[in-house]
Amino acid sequence: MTTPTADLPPAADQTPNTEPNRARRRSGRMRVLAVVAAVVVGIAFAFLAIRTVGPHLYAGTVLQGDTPAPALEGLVRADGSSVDLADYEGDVLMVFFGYANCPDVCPTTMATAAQAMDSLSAEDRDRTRLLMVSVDPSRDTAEYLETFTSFFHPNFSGATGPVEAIDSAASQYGIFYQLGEGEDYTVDHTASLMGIAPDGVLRIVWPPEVTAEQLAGDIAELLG
Amino acid sequence: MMVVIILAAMAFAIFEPIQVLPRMRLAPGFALTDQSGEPFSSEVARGTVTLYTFATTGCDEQCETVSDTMRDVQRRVEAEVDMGSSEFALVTVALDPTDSEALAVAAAEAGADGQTWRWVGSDDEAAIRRTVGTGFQRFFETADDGSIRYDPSFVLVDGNGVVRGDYRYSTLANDGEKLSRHVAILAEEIRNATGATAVAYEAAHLFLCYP
Repeated sequence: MTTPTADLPPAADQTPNTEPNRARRRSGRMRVLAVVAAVVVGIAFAFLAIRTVGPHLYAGTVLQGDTPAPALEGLVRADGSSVDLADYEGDVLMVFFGYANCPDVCPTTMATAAQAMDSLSAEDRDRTRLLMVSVDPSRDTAEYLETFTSFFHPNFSGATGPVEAIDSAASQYGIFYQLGEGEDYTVDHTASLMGIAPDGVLRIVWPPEVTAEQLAGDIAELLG
Repeated sequence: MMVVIILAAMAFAIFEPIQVLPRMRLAPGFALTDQSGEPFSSEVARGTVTLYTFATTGCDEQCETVSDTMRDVQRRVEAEVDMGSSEFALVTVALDPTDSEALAVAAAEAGADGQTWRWVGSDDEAAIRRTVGTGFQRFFETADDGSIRYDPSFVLVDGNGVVRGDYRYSTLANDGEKLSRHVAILAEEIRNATGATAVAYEAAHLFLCYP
């Protein structure tokens, strides 16, 4: 019985170590390296293209549809003027429901939003504002709210109003709030931050744990 | 490369390899009371996929229909849907101003266990109108004889408080198979839309890959 090995080409380590054979091996290795390099460059290029052309991954929850943001009817600013969302068209308006005596989440959220403002380009910063709606109208006067909000950033302002107006606005923006008891009461409230796009649509909801960098990225994307 | 991306986008839009439910609008913020007398608010529901419906405590024909559908959805989801680490709940919001005792009676008649399925309500008519009317965008009216007229409807809300399904006509609403299938689609997105896969799910939203 014979084996067919006689018909096979010699194994690599049996190849005669002549100059043409060494050149062929070098050429083969070069081809493998070229293919690997092409694959690596291709993957890098595809990743770059997807990052550049692909959808922006928002840190907040994006709402679809084109329904205008609920009006903040009955609420007033420090100067006594009524809040009218039409005043903010063309800008990104962040809306936050909180209160000035809030010990933790409100100042943290305001500070995060202020840091995000600092990360934006000057042009985008000019087109970004924040309105804090008080859920504690008996203690938060419009003037006090203005002092509190503008402390964090000059583009930030406050609004308050009758309880019925705040209840209505809070409900429509998905906000729950409940006043505590005692003289130094706190207020339990939903701490989401909402983003109204330049076209007046409530487009995004950020969770309380959003970072300044994520917020700035989303705002820049909303501004287009 | 641009051609490849455009072709991939077209293929995604045509073949819809992933289905998602639209992020329609925010569900309302509210503070009501459940059948045990415990506070039930939109914050309590946060983190849980919740199917809401609306009925009266003095259960009428409409109420029986929606309760039948709620039981059907509860059974199907428990048997067929992998919720992963998230939870699923059913909530019937009472349209008539009521207290927890009346809610408990209505819940017992409907078979709501108080855990997975709760009946919630308020004695404050303004709070009900704000939550159901303005918030969930449901019309209901009190007739001259005191009865409340409404159409059977359901609202599916995700754990972020976003409305993901709105079923408001009787031909569409009382379909337990469809509702549980939509819960399954939402559960699949919650389970899978993390890391790199999140891009694919965002693309599905972008290309309106809805069921």
